[in-house]
Amino acid sequence: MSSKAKFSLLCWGALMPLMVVILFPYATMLSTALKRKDEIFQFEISWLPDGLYLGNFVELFVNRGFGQAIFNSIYISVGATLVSLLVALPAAYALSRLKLPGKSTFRTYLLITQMISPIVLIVGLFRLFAYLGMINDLNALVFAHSAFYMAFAVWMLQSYFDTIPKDLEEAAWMDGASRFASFRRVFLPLCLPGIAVTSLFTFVNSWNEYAMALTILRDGSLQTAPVRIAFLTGTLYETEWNIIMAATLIATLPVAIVFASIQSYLIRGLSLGGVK
Amino acid sequence: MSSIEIRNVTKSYGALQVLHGIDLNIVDEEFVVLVGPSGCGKSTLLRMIAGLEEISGGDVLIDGDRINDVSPQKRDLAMVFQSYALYPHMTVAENMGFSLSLSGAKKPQIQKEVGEAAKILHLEDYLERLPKNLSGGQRQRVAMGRAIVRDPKAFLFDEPLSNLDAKLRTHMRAEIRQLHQTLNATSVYVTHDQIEAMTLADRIVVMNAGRIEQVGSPIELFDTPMTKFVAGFIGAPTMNFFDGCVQADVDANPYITLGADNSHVPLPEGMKNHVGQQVSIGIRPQHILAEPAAPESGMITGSVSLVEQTGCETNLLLSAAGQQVTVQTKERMNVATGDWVNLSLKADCLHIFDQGTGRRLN
Amino acid sequence: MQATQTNDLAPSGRRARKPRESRNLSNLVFILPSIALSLTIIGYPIFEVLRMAVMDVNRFGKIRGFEGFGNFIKIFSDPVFIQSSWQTLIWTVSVVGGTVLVAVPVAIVLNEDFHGRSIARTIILLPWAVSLAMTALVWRFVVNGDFGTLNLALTQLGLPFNNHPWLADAQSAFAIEILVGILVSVPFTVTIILGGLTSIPVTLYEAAAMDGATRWQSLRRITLPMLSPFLQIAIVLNVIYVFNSFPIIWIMTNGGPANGTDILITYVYKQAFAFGKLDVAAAGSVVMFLMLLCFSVLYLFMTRNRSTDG
Ligand SMILES: Nc1ncnc2c1ncn2[C@@H]1O[C@H](COP(=O)(O)OP(=O)(O)OP(=O)(O)O)[C@@H](O)[C@H]1O
Ligand SMILES: [Mg+2]
Repeated sequence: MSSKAKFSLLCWGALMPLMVVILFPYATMLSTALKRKDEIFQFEISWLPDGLYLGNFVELFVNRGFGQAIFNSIYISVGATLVSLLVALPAAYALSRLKLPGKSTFRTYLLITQMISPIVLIVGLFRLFAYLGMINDLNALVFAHSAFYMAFAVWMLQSYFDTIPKDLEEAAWMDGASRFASFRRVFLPLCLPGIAVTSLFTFVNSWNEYAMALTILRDGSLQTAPVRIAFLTGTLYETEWNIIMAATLIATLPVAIVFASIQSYLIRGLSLGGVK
Repeated sequence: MSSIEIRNVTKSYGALQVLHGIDLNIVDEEFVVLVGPSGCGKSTLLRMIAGLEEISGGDVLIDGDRINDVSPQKRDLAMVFQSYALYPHMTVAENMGFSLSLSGAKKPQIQKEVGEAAKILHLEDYLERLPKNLSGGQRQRVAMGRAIVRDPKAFLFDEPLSNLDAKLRTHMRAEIRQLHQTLNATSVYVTHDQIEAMTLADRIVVMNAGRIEQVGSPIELFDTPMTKFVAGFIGAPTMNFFDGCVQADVDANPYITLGADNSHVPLPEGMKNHVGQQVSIGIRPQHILAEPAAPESGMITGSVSLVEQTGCETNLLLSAAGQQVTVQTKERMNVATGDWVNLSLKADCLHIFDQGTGRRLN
Repeated sequence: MQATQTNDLAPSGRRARKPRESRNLSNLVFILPSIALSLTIIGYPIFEVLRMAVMDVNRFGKIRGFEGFGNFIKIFSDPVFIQSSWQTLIWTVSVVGGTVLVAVPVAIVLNEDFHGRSIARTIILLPWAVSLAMTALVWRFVVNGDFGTLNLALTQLGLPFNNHPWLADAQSAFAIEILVGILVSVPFTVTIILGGLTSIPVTLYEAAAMDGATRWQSLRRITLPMLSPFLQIAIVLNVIYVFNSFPIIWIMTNGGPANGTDILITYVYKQAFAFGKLDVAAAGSVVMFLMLLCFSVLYLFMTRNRSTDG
């Protein structure tokens, strides 16, 4: 065996315990989601379902209104991603490129917004949206999420912008490009990957948020996927784990795939921007 | 093509002033090189001409129009950056045609102009490549191509050759000079390499610590440097300097004594008026004659501490008159470390500077 | 020689300054939207929380009068609040401590060059992609006494855990919640530390190797010291996140049994949305924020001291 192969085995061995703990719930999720209800409550429980049973998914969308929850989640996450990008892009551009009075004050301000958790403020948030008449309004969550995830977006974007040499824009200006033209034809194409990663990150965070969605969207038909799923446990006398696990799988798998695809960019993004 | 006029231009970053009143006239079709040590403000001045840096005070005029508040886009100047600043997501052809496409030129026209520029720069075979697939020299050429495609009022270069190896640099230097002879474009070229400056320039502007020390043709700067700084900056190996006090002999002829040897060096007539003044005498290594000999009183004698043979010339590093002296000669000299040589200075090649102000006295 | 050494004073010195400063000011429009958004969504609620904390508020949010420190006195005389505070301390320290202990070695391994590294990284970072709420839910099922897969796996290994009700006992429930807390905090921490590791230049290790350092020595003498700013960031952010972490405990045990797993955040949430005591909840929020503030100041003080000492 080559020494690298040996070393690889060693590394995987070292990571194995943690991986088992991480993957165990997914195995549970998958195996339970594909089981019939009666299979779970059998005396002799087993890992493998008797057969590939997809009825749980059908039940979920047909009778439990889970489609609506997914729609709500998509609406909020897409909206929050767009809004936070809309405010974070110019801010990050200014931090990276422009002379700005109070630049460091603004940086500190962003840090402070990250120190305050939405849950500590939950009572105040509730009152704010009540005052604006936005309780039970999906848009309330759009704005709430974009406000709380904006700082991270600014950091990630700025660290990405900083890697793009200023020379390039200056060269474009010398070539006669207006500020807007150089932004659109030189800057934007170059930082598109960074913007994409930031968007996906914001999307995933918004998709997964629980406490604000739980508190501000009181109406069952407006619940987001995570809240809906948590509610499935409490509504019935006996908890239908097969349905719940099927729902969890649906709500988790797409985001997990998206996340896995941007994972290497995240490490780079955070290493560039995080500490400074 | 155009003239550029710089009037009493200053630049400050907050409290830090980096340019102190620069005045310079660049006439049409002239190739002007800005040289000076690192940090003296060359790039800053160039970027102010380009419009990339705010002008703190003074005026910049192009063809007689004040352009202080004109944005870089509207100045119609082309710039070649030290980093080349090629757009990484565009091919060579797109890079070169970018400015034309911005100004709304039609495709066939862009193609034609890019093709012509590519021909001049020997880039025809690379037009469809991305910058990352080019060698350093090719990138440099694309950067030049981007500038010449659009026939701007003037070219600005910020150390365009500093990322190339020595051989390529010499080669590109010649190409740039030829290009200038073909295009006759007004050019401002920043470098800290004095050879580049000497070979390229119609006129050289020597800068030091945010001020212009001297402006002149390469030969002027070499033959009559107006300050001690210019004298030391231009020419290789560096000029030798001896400090001393101007004295007069019985016939009232001015002379100076060097070091502990008390050897007389006669000075030009004109120095009569400076008797008693502390001066620095500068002499280029090429203008000192060295002859192997035993030490002799009344002569400047040096002991050889290093011999460099480059093939064309011999460089001697000596210690003489209590300091280090460099001598360069075209002849093959048969000396070794520790040998003694007698030195004689060519009288008409002395550069005499006031020790306090550094200004030329003769 | 064409250089003109004219000495006419530049009249434009003043003209040039004005547009520049106003242009810098006009750059503020780039950050104004973000400030406006966060001031509304974060700033106003802060104001509301502060106001309600000193008011007497009924369960429908109507302010009935000024209360002064009454709400704070109520909180501090509530034994559940005191208990929750202790539990918050245990929760935060164990989760953050455990996370760092797990994340540092994991990140170091993940930074090595081995076959399948990107797959390993993806798996380790996976919990980050999943909603805390859903992670909590799945774990609640996994440790379910009657038909959870943990008991299934343990019994299959021959251990006597058939029908063991993990969440029925406050202590084991809290321990499990802490483990889940560590699990979900590891990915973020690993990411930050990996970022730090990749920022250490390889030449440093090569130089150390030339100096005769073993792998272990260069780990201790180069890697760990160079990591410390990243570790500090990771610890600060984790303390903030974990201190405020709500879904895990809320979904797995709801703070029970008998408030045995309540932390401040679930206590506050219950006060507000289960008991309708909005004013008391607001006071609780203020106290929580002050605690975090104390931590931040203390932290700043400690790191400041250290950097001036060494
Ligand atoms: N943004 C800035 N803020 C403060 N000082 C600056 C800034 N840019 C340049 N300087 C200072 O201005 C002076 C001139 O810089 P400049 O880049 O023009 O030097 P240079 O002559 O081009 O040197 P080099 O040959 O190294 O490129 C330097 O002392 C530099 O430190
Ligand atoms: Mg420079």
